[in-house]
Formats: sequence, C-alpha cells, structure tokens
Amino acid sequence: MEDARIVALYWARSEAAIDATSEKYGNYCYSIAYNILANAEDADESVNDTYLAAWNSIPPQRPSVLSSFLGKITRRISIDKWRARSAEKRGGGEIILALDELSDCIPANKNVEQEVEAAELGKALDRFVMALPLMERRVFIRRYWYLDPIASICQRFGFSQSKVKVMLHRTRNSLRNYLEKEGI
Amino acid sequence: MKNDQILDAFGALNDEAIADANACQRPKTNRWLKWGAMAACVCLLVAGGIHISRYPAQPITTPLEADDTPSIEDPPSAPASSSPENQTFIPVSALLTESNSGYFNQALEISSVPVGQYDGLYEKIHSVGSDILRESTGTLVPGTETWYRISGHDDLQYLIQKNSGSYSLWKFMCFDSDEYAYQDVLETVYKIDSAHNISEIKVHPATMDNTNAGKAIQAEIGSQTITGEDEIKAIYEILCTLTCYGENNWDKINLGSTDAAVDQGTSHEAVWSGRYLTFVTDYGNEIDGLKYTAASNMFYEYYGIAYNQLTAEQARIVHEILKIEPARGE
Repeated sequence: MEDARIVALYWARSEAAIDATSEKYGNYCYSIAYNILANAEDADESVNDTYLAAWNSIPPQRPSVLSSFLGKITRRISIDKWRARSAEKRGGGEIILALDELSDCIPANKNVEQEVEAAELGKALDRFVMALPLMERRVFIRRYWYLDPIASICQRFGFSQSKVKVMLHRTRNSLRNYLEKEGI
Repeated sequence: MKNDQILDAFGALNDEAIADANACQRPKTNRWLKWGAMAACVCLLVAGGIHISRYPAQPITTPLEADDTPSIEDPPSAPASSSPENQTFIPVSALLTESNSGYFNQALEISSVPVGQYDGLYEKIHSVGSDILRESTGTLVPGTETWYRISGHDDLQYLIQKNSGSYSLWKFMCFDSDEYAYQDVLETVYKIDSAHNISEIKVHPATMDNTNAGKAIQAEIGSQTITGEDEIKAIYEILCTLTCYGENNWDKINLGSTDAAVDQGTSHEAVWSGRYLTFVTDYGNEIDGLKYTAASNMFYEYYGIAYNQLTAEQARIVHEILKIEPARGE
C-alpha cells in the first residue's frame, strides 16, 4: 500500500492503518530497534510502542516520508528504553560502540558536562551530514542513525571493513572540526 | 557536551537522507560475471605478456612530451574520469519516490534528448531531492551539455538533468519518430543486447477495470514472474521484431471491451486479455512500461505508444508464456 494511503487511514482513524504500517514497515522498525536493544522481546515492544506513537501523532502530523517518520520514533523509543535499563542490564548492541566512537566528535574546547541546546546541535548536525559526499553520508547515517554494525555496512555497500572504518573516522573528525567552527 | 547528545541529535536528520541511506544497496553481483571478468583479466595479462615478449618496448613519453592535442575520436564533452565502471553504482530505486507508482505516474513535463540516431522523449518524474541527484550524476550524455546518466550506469533509461543549478530525474518514454525498431530501444536505451541481459519478467493482470467484477478477475489471473531462460528468450526475440509507431496512437490499439462497469453483461475482455509487464535487467533496472493485449495481439504502452500486431504464431507463444486464455474474454 502506498504511504499516502496509509497516512490517510491514520487520518480516518482506521485501525487498518496499524496493520498496513506493520506489514510494510514492521521489519524496518524492528531492525532499528534490535540494533539498539540487542534483545528480541524489547525490540518487539519498541515496535509496538512505535505504532501507538504514530497513531497518537497522525493526525495532526502528515509525514512526507513515512519510513523515516516511523524510523525516528522507533529509534527514539528504543534509545529511551535502552537508557531506562540499569547499567548492568544494558548488554551489547551497537549503541555502546557507537557512543564510544561519537566521543571523537566532541570539540576539545567543550567541557564534557557542558549542555548544548539540543535543537541547535540537531540543526548543525543536519547541515554537516547533508554537506557530506553521498557515499560518506550514507555510511555515516547507517552507522549512527540506524546503528548498523560495521560488518553489515560493509555488506550493504560492498566496502571492506578498513574502508568503512577509515571513512567513519575521517567523518567524525570532520564533524568535530565543524562543531568547533560553529561554536557548538 | 556528551556523546549521548550527539547520538540524540542524529534523530533530527533530514527524512530524505535517512530514507536514501536505507534504499541504497550494492547490486548483487552475478557470480558467473565476476569469475568471467577475472578469467578475462588473466587472458589479457597472458596476452599482454606475450605481446611484450615479442615486441621491443617503445620509448616512454613523459607527460610534457606527449601530444596534448585531443584525439578527434575523444568524446568532446565527456569528463576525463567518465567511465561508468569507475563510478559508484547507484540503483535507480534509490532515486525514486513512492509517488512514481500506479496512477500517480503522470508526466508533467516532457523533454527531447539526443539518443544515438534518434531524439528520445523523456518524462520528468518524482524523485529524491536535487542535492542527492547532483551527487548521483554519472557520465554526460554525448551531444548534450546538461543531461547525465545515473552514476555507474551505461543505460539511458533514466537521466538526470542539470538546469540552473537544480537537478531533476527523467525517464525514457519513446523515440520522437513515427516508426522505429523496438530493438533500437532495447539496445540503445536499455543496453539489452541479448536475452541474457533480462533477469526476469514480472507479469501482472491489467488493471483498467476496477469494478468488483474486474478486480475479481484480476485476482483470479494473479501475478507471475518469468525466470525460465527459454521463455525469456522467446519473449525477447519477439520484442526484437516489433515496430513502434510512437506516442498518441490510441486509435491503433484495441484493448477490447472496457465498459464492464456499466453493462453487467459484458465479458471483461480487456482484463482477461491484458497483461502488464516489468522487465528486470541484469543491472537491476526495471522497465515497466510495456503492456500486452490479446484483444488485438499487440504490445502497447502509456501515452498511446503503439506497436505492430503480432503474427498468429508470435501471439500463440506470448499467450502461452503470459498464460492468457483469449477465449475467456470473448
């Protein structure tokens, strides 16, 4: 079913919207949740919470790219769920590794505890990512938005592990420099 | 600032970029093609070795000594590193948006682009944003200054146009000619030189009759995917014999009765007789314009693009492969 029709079902408050979403984007949302939580039961729960959140937000929202809209909800819910777990129960998952890698991006002149306005950081990150060359952008998004393991990024794009790691390393350094220049 | 904040900030990324990163997949490589290419490289190395051992080495010309005058055979407008093989292959699916499917696929703008000996007509289609298209451009189309292939592509099915710094995606419709061989389209536009270039053919029932009765017939007919070598070869050979008469030729196309909605006594001939075809090429493109009707034994396309009528024997082969039972529509 086309996205516009699924969104129309939400607007009509038809429960068929949930079925259509589950059929078309269930696996997509699950893979995002599983990358973060590394636990099938928790990932299922996140996906179900995604449907509920979509139901509650459409209307008034009318997403233009439904996949990204749902993916963003799943990602946010899964990260929140991961944070809610006690430290010892957080377990594996790519999020630990990704967080460790992202510490490269923190500008040297910033105190680790210093808070930055989330919206400002989000806009700067979006500008930075959109200015990246296409393949570097795709790899960067796969790693830090979808939280894909390096091996699966290599498989998806046909790159070697070393190429992906070097590409990510350079992009993280560029992001740090960019944030420094932006005064963030 | 904490790394957590950066992780959260990713949540605000551009929707299109997120969708693009999900749509892009490396094309599956054909194992035989890969080993064949390796074998060809070995042969070249061996042949090269024989050549070097038989002939004395030529003096090496330094770049400064080399004749900088471009060869008359060099393509005048193609960039130096323009070989599609050296570019990242970008699948067409990564550039299309959902609204290209079904009845939303309506042309708003049509442009003419020189394609070999013809002028190709292209329709502008919904696509990802201009920034992504700009980064997806491949080689310049010879004889043009603003039309590009998609990166890594040798075919001309989809082109990217640069216009005042903005990029848009266009899809081939037909040649601007009253009569031409469809084989020219297969070879020039789709780079299909043999049946081996077609991986599979997806066949769906015709959807022009969406009454409940029409839909029931569509469900009964169902869809199928043709993957058999012999069947693909038979269809390919028939396509190579076709003559195309260009667009706006609806008067040449007899689809059979389509007024089932107002007359319950009609036979739904158009649905029983019609099939919509999608050819999947070996490089992953989908050619989805071609349709067939057994009401007049003809292939046709959107925009009233008409083809010649098949011979009785050709029609028999097509009906057998597409599983059409013309008698049911009579």
